[in-house]
Amino acid sequence: MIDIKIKNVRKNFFTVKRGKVEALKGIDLEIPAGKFFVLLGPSGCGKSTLLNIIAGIEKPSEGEIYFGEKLVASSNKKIFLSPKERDVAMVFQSYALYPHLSVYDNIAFPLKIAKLDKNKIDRKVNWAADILEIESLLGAKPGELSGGQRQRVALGRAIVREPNLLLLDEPLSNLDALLRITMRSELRSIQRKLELTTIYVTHDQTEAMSLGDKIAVLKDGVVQQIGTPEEIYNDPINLFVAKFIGSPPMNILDGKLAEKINDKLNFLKDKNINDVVAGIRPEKINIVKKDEGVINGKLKMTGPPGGEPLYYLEAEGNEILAKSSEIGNIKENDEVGLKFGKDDLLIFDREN
Amino acid sequence: MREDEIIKLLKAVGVIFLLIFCLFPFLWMIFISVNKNPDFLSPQSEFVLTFKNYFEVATSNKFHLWDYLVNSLVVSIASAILATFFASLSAYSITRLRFPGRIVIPLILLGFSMFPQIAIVGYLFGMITDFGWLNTYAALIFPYITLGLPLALWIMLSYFSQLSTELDKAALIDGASRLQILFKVILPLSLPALFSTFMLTLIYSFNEFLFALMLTTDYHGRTIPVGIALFEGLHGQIPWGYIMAAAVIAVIPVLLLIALFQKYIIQGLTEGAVKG
Amino acid sequence: MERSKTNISDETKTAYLFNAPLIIVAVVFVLVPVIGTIVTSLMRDVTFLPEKFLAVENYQRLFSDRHFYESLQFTLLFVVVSVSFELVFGLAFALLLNETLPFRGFLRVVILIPWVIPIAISARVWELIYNFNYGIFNYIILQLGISDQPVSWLGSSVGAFIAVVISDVWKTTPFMAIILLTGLSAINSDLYKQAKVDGTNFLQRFFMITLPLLKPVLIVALLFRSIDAIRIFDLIYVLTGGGPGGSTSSLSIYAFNYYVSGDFGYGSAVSVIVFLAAGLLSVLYIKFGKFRETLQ
Repeated sequence: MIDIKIKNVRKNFFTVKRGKVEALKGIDLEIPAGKFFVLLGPSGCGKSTLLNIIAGIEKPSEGEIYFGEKLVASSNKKIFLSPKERDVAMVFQSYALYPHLSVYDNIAFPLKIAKLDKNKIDRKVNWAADILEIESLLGAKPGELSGGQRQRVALGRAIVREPNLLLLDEPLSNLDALLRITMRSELRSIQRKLELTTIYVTHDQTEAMSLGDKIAVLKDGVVQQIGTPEEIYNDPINLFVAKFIGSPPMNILDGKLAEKINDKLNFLKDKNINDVVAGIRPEKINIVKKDEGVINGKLKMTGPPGGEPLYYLEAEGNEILAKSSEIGNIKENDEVGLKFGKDDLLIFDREN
Repeated sequence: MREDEIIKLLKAVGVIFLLIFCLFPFLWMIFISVNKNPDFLSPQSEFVLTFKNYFEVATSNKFHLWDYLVNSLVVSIASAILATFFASLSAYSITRLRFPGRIVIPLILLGFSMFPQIAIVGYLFGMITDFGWLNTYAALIFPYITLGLPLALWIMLSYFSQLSTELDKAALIDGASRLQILFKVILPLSLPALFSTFMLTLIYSFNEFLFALMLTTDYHGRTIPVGIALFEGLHGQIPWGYIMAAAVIAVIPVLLLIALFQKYIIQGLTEGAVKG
Repeated sequence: MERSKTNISDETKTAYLFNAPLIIVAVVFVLVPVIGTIVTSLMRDVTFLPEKFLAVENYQRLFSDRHFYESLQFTLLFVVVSVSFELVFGLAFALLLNETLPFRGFLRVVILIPWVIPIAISARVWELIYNFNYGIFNYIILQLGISDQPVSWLGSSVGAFIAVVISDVWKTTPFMAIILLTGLSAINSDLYKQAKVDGTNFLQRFFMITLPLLKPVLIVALLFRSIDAIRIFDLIYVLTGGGPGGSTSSLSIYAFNYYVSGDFGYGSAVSVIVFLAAGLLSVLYIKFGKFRETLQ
């Protein structure tokens, strides 16, 4: 178990077409020992680059990285340890299993490179295979395995070394929906059991919310918010985080600021009040009779039967999605009232 | 006549023409090699079947057939192995590492392959003489490496660039060095390309003439094409039967290669010569 | 965009180590000899005479040398005629092999035979085929009554030119066919189906679909073969030796004869001309071949 500190890490690329590209613009993170830490963000936000830099595959243009007390990368002190020296393991989106090697040899590969003796390798491979329940597959080639089995082998190859740090780069995105959910919980339980410090990269907020002890949301090479899933869900720091987290997504309403109801709006002090928008999560809205809610609206469409009850409404020029459990006898195109607590309304700076 | 009938006819004519075009000189070579009288087409001669030509060139030590053939095989196999190996090293670094010269090296090498041999061989003769390599295997192995190298590099480049770089990252994470990655991960996955490259560079070297003509002097270093080209009778009379028998024996190795590995050879040829 | 990049100096160091064998061999055995040849072309470098710097004197001699012009003329004519025939036959064979045929695999082996036999060896077979007294070409000509006199293939300058072209076309058409075949198989077959539905005949399809779409590959193959043809040596050396009377002496043969006679300076000057001609075509080849694009 080890904690990771990332201090002001920057990464610049130089391309012929676009000149200098800033992929990471000063990242500061602390990843607590033994925890499951998720880097969440849309594609191109720099999360994979950051993961590669932590792994030691790519070199930061600026900044420092500590593994515990040990400095593993520093642009000023010209320190850059290789993945081997950092003792990290990684699972890739494509699994990156060596196609010409058997499952056993794939898992044994890092141990053979480290020149462990045969008995020890054998013991460790069997230990990893046992945890991942792939003992029966050890003789097979990767090509003969299903997606889920490949995933397990890749995980086996990562944990067999009992690394300082486990890095996962969108490891579930090539699996079908159902398998993804089972692998998610299994991943979580293996991580808990081995108490491995883990960094997990994904663009899927559901995955992040269900897996992470802590989440860092990234956009355009900048950390937007760091917090537990609850903090990020309930208290998004800006409009981007608010829209990115949650399924179905948060409703965003245009409006004018009429009264100040709590202190959350301190950031507005110097702003023109027209620059704000209001956000409200669909499950915070109750559909009631006309004139009984905060605002009135019209029911346009109900969500698919069988699933969670979803209602598409229109109110004062805004499209609103509500996840209300009881709506009584209301049909499409009926006028209804929308009720919600004023504290559930989140106010954001439109610009940010 | 309907269109599909015309096409059918054209195809049939085409196949017959192709067979005659490609096979005739080759079959003629075999035909003369088993003929007692190479001049059998003149009125005063006739066709007599014999295998004496083969027996003579294979057993008589004045023809040095086996010396030439062994020289050819040693020189071309050695240069093919080295060219394939050098090309793999370079292609790996070009497809996986960023460094100044990444783009330029393969282009310059491609340009080198277009240099006429005549612009190389004159000066090379002096260099090889100075090295004391004249009439040795080394005199041919090194120039032959350069002969096959551009093609080899381009075949390996196009193959390596199809392999996912995530494999490299995984192996880096697993603690492997770049050399270990090349030998334990990339090359085992590239056997078809290695095979194509090896065979094509082998054929290039086996067929080479001008360097061998200039840089070797007798059967200690001379290769089979030069041996057969310079094969003359003792008294002005050209021993056609012997020459054809020797030629048939000489081309057996390369014919075997194309018969067995046609697919790899065609793949390699097209990858190395034309892009897009 | 997100390329792997480890420690810059380490990565560059590794890359140069990996490229070292290739670079060293290419520099020592190609670049140095070529530069040597260029330098030698500016010298008097004749066996048994002291070396002397001549600047461009060899080239002045070259441009007033009637035999050099003859050699240049032969070489260029050979390139044009030979490559044209190769293109026609190569395209025909490629079209044929692109069709569904019985024994297509066998035919693909057969077409490689001329290419894979060392030219020095097949040239000897051709020598026999062209033989004045008992060659099969003359036998056929006499039997069919095309002429009542045997043709002096290798003894007349026209005959020798035709003989060299025939043998070269035989040898190199397979390569052309294979290259064009790849180009053909890259053409989307739906285009042909669409054109058939539109009511075209096979000639229209050839001129309206095949030829335009094959053009990029055609240009590259043409350049590649021209570069090769302009350097021709092996076939001529064995088949005619440049004769009769120097009429089939290509530039490479011409230069070689000076090397053999010990005049390396003048031989090198001729070689430099071959080098420049091939170099010019090579630049076009590398440009049209889209090699740079594949590296990105």
